[in-house]
Amino acid sequence: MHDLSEELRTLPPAGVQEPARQLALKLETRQLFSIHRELLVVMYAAVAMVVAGVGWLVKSNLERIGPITLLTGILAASALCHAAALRAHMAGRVRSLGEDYVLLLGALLFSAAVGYAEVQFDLFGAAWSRHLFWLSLWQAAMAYYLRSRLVLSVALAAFAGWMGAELSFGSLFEPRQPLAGFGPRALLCALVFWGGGWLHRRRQPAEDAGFREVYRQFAANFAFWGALALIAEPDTRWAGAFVLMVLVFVVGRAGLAERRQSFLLYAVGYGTVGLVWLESMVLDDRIVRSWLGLFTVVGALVLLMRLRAQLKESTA
Amino acid sequence: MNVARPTVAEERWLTAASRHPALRAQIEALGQGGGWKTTTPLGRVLGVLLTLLGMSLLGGALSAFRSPWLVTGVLLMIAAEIMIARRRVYRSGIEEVLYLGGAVAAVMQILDWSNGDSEAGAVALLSAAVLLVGWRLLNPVLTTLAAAGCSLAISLVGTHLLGGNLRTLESAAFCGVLAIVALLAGARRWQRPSHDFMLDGLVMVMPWLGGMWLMGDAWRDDARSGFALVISTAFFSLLLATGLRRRQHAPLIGALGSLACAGYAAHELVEWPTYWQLIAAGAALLLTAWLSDRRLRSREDGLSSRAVDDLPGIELVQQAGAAVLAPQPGAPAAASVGGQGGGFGGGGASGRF
Repeated sequence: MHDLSEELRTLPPAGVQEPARQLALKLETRQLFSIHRELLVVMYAAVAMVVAGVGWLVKSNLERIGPITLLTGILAASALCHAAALRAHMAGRVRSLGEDYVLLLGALLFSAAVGYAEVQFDLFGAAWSRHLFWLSLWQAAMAYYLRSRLVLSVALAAFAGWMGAELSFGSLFEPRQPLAGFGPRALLCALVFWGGGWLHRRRQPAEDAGFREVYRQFAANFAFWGALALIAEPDTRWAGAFVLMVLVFVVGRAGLAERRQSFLLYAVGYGTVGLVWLESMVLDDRIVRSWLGLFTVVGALVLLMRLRAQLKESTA
Repeated sequence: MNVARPTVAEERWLTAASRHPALRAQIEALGQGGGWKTTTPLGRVLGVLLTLLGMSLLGGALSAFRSPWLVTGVLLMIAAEIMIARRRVYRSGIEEVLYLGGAVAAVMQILDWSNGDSEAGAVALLSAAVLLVGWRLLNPVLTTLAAAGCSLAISLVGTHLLGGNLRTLESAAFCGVLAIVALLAGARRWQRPSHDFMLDGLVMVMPWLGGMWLMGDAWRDDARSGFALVISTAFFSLLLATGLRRRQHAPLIGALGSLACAGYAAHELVEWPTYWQLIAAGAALLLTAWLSDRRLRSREDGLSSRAVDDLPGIELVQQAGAAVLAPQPGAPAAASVGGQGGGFGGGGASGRF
């Protein structure tokens, strides 16, 4: 083990935030020892295990248990999880880490129940994917009511699913029609998410509960994924390159202005990958392609080094 | 030989600045970091990814040479040394991948020339190269990777003390011994934080890697699973007790890995269907974590569960993790559920989508 308290004690008093120093000293001397991160990992793993187990249970035992029993069981479990979060909400207190993850489990179980009901009872017929839209609306409503960023993430992912923009790398290569394919859909998703964030722009941080940031993160990622998907299609390659450059400029500028390291990293990372990808598709000679790609990456790395100061001062 | 890297004092200040973001500006204003340039964890990850991309492109660009691996490797290591000496970068992700890639490329060329058919020797040589790079750059990820490589090399050796069918047991024993040695050494007060981090890496990874070797494909029976369950549970108890007593994170993380191994071994022994095992284990874990959090969250001193520091990117990781578990559309599937078609799993349906 090591202990940096000696260094922290020698910090000159001028300019030092004393509460921050006292907290740091407590942590270094292990007077205070937080297992917050370990609990976070355990809770996520636990939620993932339960959700995976429920999915498997449904798939394996449908005929033996029966659809109504299964659906009732999953919905009851989901309601129990929501009740725990509602209890905290009614008491007017901030949810604990445990309650946050129990709520996430409830939201995911509810999603599983709705998806299962759609598969089993064919509620929307040919418009089967619409259940994802209604699910996203319900999850968004719960997220707003219970002020949960995790549930909002689930809602936005369900919305993207309804739009046909999967969260998987392989979907970039799906042979769809260029204008109805992944690229335009992802860009449309990004626009909707950006709009969601825009509606939150005037809210105070305490009132906003971090929702604006969730919308903006989803918007930035889906926008870049859409641009990369456009580049992958021969018909929309140059349009994709143009969209990518606009996004690099807009997102990078926002990152610099707001000191958000995540936005700066998206601009540099996605921009470089997109350019190298474009070069590899446009050029025929492998050696020339490699050298040009190498120069592009070296340029990006130099830029990353130069942005170091902004990265360190940002908070995202 | 004078190797360009932070002195002990400089490294301690650099670690203090990165560990306590609220004091970073004041620490940097002191100028005790020796002018070394570090970056944030997210910046480091992007540095790693872009450098990997650049390295693969360099490999393609130099493919016309007769010995591209050696030329590429030497060039990459020279570039890393220049970056460290002139730009004074430390843990930027860029020089780390350059050095690692260079060393691995050079060793691959040597292996190619030697025409050796010993897989164990090749893995051992690669592990030694990774260990040297890790030691040079004070990088705990690489030293831990080298130890994992050594355990693989042991399993590949032709002759075994315990006989051919039990070769993975020797690898497991190697991991277990290394974990215990690192755990004992971790009790000492280390001046250089990176040396402590290297031990932490071994304590976190070796126990579960040993558990995985124990459950290797060499002996698939209940005796093996029972033995793995006992050893993993013993490691879990030891690491949990040590972590809580010393108030160190590495043994606690190692304990979680051992718990996963114990769970997997128990899965082999218990007759229940796997989905019930998953649901029961997940519910038990969630309940335990929830109760622990409830009991510890109000504590201002000692063992606590409140978030005390602002880990960069943790919010992003949580949001991404929640989105990954969310229902997603999949490919159309053949009828497998109630005649309506499609499979079903995860956070939602995947059928008919």
